[in-house]
Amino acid sequence: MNAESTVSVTSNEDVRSPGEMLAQGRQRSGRTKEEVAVQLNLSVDQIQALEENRFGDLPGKTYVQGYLKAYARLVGCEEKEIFRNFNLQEDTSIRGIKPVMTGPESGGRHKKVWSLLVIVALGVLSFMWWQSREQADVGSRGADLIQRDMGSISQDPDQNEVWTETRILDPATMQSTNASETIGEPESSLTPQDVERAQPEDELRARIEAEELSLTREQNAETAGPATDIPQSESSPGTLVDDAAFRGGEAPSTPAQTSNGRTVTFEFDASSWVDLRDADGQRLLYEHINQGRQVSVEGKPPFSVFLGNADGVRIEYDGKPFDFSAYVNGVYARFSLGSDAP
Amino acid sequence: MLKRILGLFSNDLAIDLGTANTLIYVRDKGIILNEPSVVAIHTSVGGGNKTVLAVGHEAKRMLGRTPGNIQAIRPMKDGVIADFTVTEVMLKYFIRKVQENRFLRPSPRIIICVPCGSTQVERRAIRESAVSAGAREVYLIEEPMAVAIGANLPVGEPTGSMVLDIGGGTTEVGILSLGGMVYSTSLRTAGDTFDEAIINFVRRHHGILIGEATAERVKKAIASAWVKSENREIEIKGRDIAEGMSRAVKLNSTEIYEAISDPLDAIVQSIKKALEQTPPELSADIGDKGIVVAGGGALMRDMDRRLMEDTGLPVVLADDPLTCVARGCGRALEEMDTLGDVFAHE
Repeated sequence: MNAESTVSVTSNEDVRSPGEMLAQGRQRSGRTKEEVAVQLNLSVDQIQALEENRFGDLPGKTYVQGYLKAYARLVGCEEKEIFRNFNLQEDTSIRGIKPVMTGPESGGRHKKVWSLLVIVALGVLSFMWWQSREQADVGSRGADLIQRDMGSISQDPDQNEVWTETRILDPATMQSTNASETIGEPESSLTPQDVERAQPEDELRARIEAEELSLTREQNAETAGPATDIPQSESSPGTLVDDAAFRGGEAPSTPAQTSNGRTVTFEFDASSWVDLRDADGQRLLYEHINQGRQVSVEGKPPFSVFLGNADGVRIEYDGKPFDFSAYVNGVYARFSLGSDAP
Repeated sequence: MLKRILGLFSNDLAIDLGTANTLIYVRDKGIILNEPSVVAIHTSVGGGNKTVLAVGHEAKRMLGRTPGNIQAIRPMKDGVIADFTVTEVMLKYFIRKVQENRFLRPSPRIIICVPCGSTQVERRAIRESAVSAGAREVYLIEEPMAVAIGANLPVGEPTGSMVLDIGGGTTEVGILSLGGMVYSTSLRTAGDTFDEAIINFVRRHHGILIGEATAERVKKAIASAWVKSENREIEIKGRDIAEGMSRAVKLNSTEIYEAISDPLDAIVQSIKKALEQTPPELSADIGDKGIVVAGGGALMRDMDRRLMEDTGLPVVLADDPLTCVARGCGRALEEMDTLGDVFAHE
């Protein structure tokens, strides 16, 4: 029975409210509420509210804590005890102020990790897009260069001559090809006067055809005997061959694989545009080839090679590596292959 | 743009750049730095090169104990920058110390509190010092506002709140309502003034020269702001002015009260002046609720009783008064959007 009563007294003391403790302290010190109010510069109503734990009637938590502290010190109560009980009744967390921590908060770290991941992902995507764009550029640039070169060749006879000079390698073969190509062509009806009357956009082509015609007639005069009234030209047969060559489609097709054919092997370390033509100007390869591929082509030398991305291509000619670094001009390279072959 | 990206990896900071101590509140973490605003500088032979020897606690231990080639400097005086270069060095050191991520060299947003009486030039000096120390954006907040926010007063409500911050270099008095300052004043009488008063008193009455560190020790141990406080004693040693020898002397609370009564009176007068300038409705609110006192001066024994007696107002000591300004800056940082425009403008 005694033990039970002791326990109940202790528990009652433990749950004593701050107001009760202050009121008891005031009574112990022999002060009235009015005296306390005067000494703390508070109103009697405020003192009563404190003693009755009506903290909601007081200005705010900061002020209430301050009043409790001052009251406790005045009447000689233990501040810690009063605040412990006060904190049991009130929510102690102050809005917006987090307690001092020694380590970083996990939420903040997660936010940082996610931010970092997003930035890395964006960076990777940007890099991939840039890479793909660069490859497309290389391909289209190669194609553009070829088209531009061909355009300039067809429009500028001087340029055409320069280009053809590098390609006149086997006059005998070319001459025969030329002869077979030009005899009996319908364009033989064209005269230089027809050329003069041609439309401006077709002027160049007409002029070339007229030139070709005159040369054909000269050739015929040499081989067949009968003389013509067209003046003789000093042009070399090689020029004719190449004229036919750059007109591509108009040239008669010849087999790519011949008995004395040579093999050209391309190895693509990077994607590149390739234009490969044989001695007859026949297109053996004319496409954009992706990285990692290896392409072998057999044809009649000498070959005319154009590479859109020269740095990314390796060439083997008849199984032997061929160094074309001397012909690299910027990103592309244009050269002749097998010119000293028999 | 780069600073913004780096800002993702930095924690925003709130800095109480005080005359005596610098406290840094890091967003989401709390106050993680509290060091004296002292820098020790080593000057090489010939006076050419100057290198920072120590900052903070370590430098404070050197105050008054340095050889000729080392200077222990307090770069802040009366709440504002006295030595721009050294303040910048100190800020850089503290900011680097609290930032975890050293690889990315983050550039945080920083809130710094300034005395309400500081001039435009002084505020710009503080702002530029923070920018030089690596801040992405700098916000200034007046100390009374920071105290009010730190003490969780209803700054945004239409009710008057009065705060008193007795710091190291300045004492700030502010009356706030509806998120703004109704009245504020800054007094260059504060903790340092008490120390100087004690040094002068001991020299005059005991013929002994003591240093700042000893004066501060006396202040913390036995100084009281109220004449009826319990009397306490402390023994200190200093240099005898006449003999030049070290001599010990016992000081008591009554003597120290006498020594610091002038600066204490100045503080009380500034409160009375503020109350005189306050509109009547706000004055009634303040009379009802009282003054909230923060800063190191609030820790002086019976400061609240002295203020209660002299002003006739209830006096409330803020929770942890030394960190109240830093907590206020921190809360302003975290609740920048909800608190509204509580920042100071140049």
